[in-house]
Amino acid sequence: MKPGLIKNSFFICCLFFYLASPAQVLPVWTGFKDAEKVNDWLVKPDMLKAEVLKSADGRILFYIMVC
Amino acid sequence: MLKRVFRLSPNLVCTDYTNLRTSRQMIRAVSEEARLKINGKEYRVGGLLGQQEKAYLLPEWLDQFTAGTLDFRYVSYELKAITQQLKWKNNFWTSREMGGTGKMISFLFVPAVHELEGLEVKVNYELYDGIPLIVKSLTIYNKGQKTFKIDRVVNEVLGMVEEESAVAGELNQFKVPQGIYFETNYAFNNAMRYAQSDQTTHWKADSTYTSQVSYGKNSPVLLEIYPEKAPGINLAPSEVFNSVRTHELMMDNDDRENRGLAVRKMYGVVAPWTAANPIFMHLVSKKDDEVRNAIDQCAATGYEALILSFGSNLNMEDNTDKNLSRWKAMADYAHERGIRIGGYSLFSSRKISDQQDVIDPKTNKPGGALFGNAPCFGSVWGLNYRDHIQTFFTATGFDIWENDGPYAGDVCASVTHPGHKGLEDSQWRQMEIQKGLYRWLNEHGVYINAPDWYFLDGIHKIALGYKEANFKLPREQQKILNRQNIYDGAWEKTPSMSWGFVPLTEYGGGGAAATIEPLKDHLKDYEQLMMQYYGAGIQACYRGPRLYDTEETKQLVIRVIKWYKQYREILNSDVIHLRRADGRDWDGILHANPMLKTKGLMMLYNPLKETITRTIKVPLYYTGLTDAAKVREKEGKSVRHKLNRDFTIDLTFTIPAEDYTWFVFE
Repeated sequence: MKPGLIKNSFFICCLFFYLASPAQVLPVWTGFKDAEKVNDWLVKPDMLKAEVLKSADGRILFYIMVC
Repeated sequence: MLKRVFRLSPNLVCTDYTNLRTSRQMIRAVSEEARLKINGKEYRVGGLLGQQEKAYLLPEWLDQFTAGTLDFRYVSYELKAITQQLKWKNNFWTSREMGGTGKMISFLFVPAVHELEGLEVKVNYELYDGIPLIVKSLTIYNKGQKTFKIDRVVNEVLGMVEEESAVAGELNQFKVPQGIYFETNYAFNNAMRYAQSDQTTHWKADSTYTSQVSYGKNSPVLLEIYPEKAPGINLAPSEVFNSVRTHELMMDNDDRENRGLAVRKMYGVVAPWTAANPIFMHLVSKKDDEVRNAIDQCAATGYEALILSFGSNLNMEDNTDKNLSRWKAMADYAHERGIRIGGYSLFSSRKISDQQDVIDPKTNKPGGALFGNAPCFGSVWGLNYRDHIQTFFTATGFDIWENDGPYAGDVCASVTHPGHKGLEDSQWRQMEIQKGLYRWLNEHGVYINAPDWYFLDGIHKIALGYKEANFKLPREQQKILNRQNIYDGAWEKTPSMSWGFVPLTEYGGGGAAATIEPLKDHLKDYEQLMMQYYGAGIQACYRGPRLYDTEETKQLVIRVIKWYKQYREILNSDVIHLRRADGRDWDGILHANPMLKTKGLMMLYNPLKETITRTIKVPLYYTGLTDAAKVREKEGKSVRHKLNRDFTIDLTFTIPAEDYTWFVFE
């Protein structure tokens, strides 16, 4: 098989998986959304308040939470 | 954002430490809350024993764990609002009016053994609003009748999850856990970066963690925070010992910008004074008339402060009435013109005398300090130096202290110095004196430039991170090197936390090719050097006898300062790194601030000898813009750009040869 044919076959296979399995592509989008959510405190810090909570079973929880 | 969970019985122990945004668990095993070495013997504070498998921790195991019989026992807790570490007073322009808020919880412990009767220990946790940050510290109270010798205070112990696993390899060949950024207020060594200045972070192997992949059990998975060289601290009845403060900041990922931004935000919360950023000149003067002339030039151009540089006609150690009156009059002259005034004074890296210098424990003679010779802060001279500086500022009304040679951690084996007992406590006591002086000045409204990592105890600005010898290189090289220094120095520091350097007159050699004077003959270089620094939000030490020599030069300085003030808020905002200067193509930085109307300002440079046109991706995530950005070049017309899905825009620009441009994002 010629090198060009290998390259073309690889491209076609990728395209096939892309079109036939959109779920394979979705994680890329999810990744960006997660990154946005994770980084939000650097952009919107005013939303977040420190809280110290005590649980009923004798433990103490330190919790920084969104108000 | 994060949670840290404690069980109270049979002794207090941390059972969970999670970054809630990533669900990453930080600990794999229980540890003591702290560990103390008192009178030569080690004691654990809190914690439980009995965990066998140390790769992970299951809640159902906790009931089987037991308290150590010699360990300090948990008694109670107290909850209150966080109080500011410093009653900081600010007299300068700042981008931040107040520090962080939040809650503090203190756990009280008492000793379980008779020989420690009278001691009480509080383990303090501060939680801050709006940032995934915990500050942990420890306080020891001596409420008994005898003196205790505090030999070591380990104020944080964490059995952390390994960052990576390998079957073989030595301890220092492993990457240490990256999920939490640690920083304490015990840092020095003239590095201008915390990582190299840190004196307290110890990553150790855990031989009790037998199931780790490393056959030699060499993974760095045990974190301990303590100053290495601070044993032998006497704690007399009714005295209180405060440990170093450990800042623990959750990190979300491995992205350098993201991690650095988090650290920069932290300083705004715990060291808000670092946001002050006056525009100052670094005067080289021999006569008082020259000082007055420089004050007049500052007032005429929009500068806000004048610092008498090294080699000038100012001696802050001279506490005679004549000297104090002379400089009081000068401060009055400056203040009447709306200019703040400061001066340079050297503490370390100088020799005073055999009696006053630090004594090298290896030779029992002066020397062996970081800079060869250094005075001991605990000597008579050192204590007098502190008092003279305080007296000078009180008597003259000066506003800025440029303290070269901050205490750099030199130990001292002298047993005759009044400020420390001997070698053992010499570093801790000298640090206390240095920190005390910075804190006193800060609380009296004095702005402090000092080239070592004392931010958390009151200094405002540190050197950017440059090699002084480079300032004798030709201006062309200096411009590129300066931009590299700015780029590298802005990963963990905000613009206001650094100073740069521009030698208006010759500095260490280099002749005419290296200097800006005569200013009127080098206006293009003068302008570009100013724009590089002001465009980065960084004040440079413009070191020379004057700011301008002709009307044309004066107008140039006025124009640059006016521009800086117009965009001051965004220029003092965090730097997003675009491309580091290499002299081969464009380079640039972006300031980003989602809280401002102007969300971003980008500085771009063309070092080439030809006009360039480039299309780049500008990362706007941290500007807070989500859908579209209004973009304008300089004061031109705004153009709307739709953001790509990764919050970038594609932007095309053209810059003439050896020139610069800037863009505004709204």
